[in-house]
Amino acid sequence: MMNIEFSFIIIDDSELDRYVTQKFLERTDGGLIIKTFSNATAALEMIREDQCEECKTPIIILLDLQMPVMNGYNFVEEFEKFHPKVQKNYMIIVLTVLSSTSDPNDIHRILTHPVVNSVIEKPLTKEKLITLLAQVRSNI
Amino acid sequence: MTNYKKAYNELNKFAYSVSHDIRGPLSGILGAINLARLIDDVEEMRELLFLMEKSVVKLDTYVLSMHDYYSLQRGELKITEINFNEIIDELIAIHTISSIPNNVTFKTSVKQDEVFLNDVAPLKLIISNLLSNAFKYLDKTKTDKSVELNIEVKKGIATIYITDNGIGILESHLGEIFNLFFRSNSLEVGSGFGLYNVKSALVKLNGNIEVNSVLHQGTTFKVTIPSI
Repeated sequence: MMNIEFSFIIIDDSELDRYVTQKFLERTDGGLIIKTFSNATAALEMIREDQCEECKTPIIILLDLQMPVMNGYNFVEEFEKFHPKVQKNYMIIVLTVLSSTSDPNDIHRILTHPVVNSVIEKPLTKEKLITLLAQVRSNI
Repeated sequence: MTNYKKAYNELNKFAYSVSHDIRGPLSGILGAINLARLIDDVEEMRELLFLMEKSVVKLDTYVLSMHDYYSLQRGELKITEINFNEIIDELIAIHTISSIPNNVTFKTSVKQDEVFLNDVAPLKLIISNLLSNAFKYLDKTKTDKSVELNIEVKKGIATIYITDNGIGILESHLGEIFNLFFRSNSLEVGSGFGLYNVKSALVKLNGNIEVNSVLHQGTTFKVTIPSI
């Protein structure tokens, strides 16, 4: 199979989680371009400035849900305000802690947004990442 | 009946918030362990351990404030003579660790010429929580970062001022900062226990708290506690 190059944007307020996700990605594929953001507002700002309507490589956004300032839900809502030409270069994958006490409606709600491709439960493992990459490749 | 219902709702919210707040860092640490299994490089491993340690310390602080919350809800007061200089010395020792590397000017003053009777544990909790907030919410972009703690005991009342020139609190949040699990929209995430515990301790000691804050300029908390 051809090795398609992706770019990744990691949005997570936890320093440890950003580090772990980035290192996992680098280990799986050394050719990946990865940008990390500790808050969703800054990521949104970068996407707005980039305005890439014809990005060379598809960009996958790994999004945490529980964050201060702007949480994952608000990020998705803001992201959907971008021009469809901008939106189509991105794919959002939610990477979050699910627990028996989390509201299943919240997870369901986030998946109703067409820009959200899937939800992956933390903690991240090599297996989950490989599954994720395969899924991304099949969607592109 | 309404009391039971209120207690039940509170317990529900408590279980939800606590389990979520504890699982966050735990899943981070689990992810780090999964990653560590693949790492051979010692330097990279050290870097990972450093970040894991930070997460564990944060989690520990969280559990400690949860314990404070619990112990404040019950128990009798243990009244002793309070020497505010002793309390301050202890707090200086704890907070100088965070003030020196971050270039923070930390000033303290105590005026106490009379006997003050109170329970030392909730008293320390109040001052310590307000101080750590003052340090935590400093404006990282400012070069003249400062925190001040002034205590004066007069006519059986201790008045404590904790002042910082930090990021300040949004005016619309001022009414909510003492609520359990309230977190202001700040870049630093709190446990949601801190100021609630301060308020509970003050209720227990029959004290009072006022807050004065201007966004981007700083915050002053004024605490008054009567001798018992």
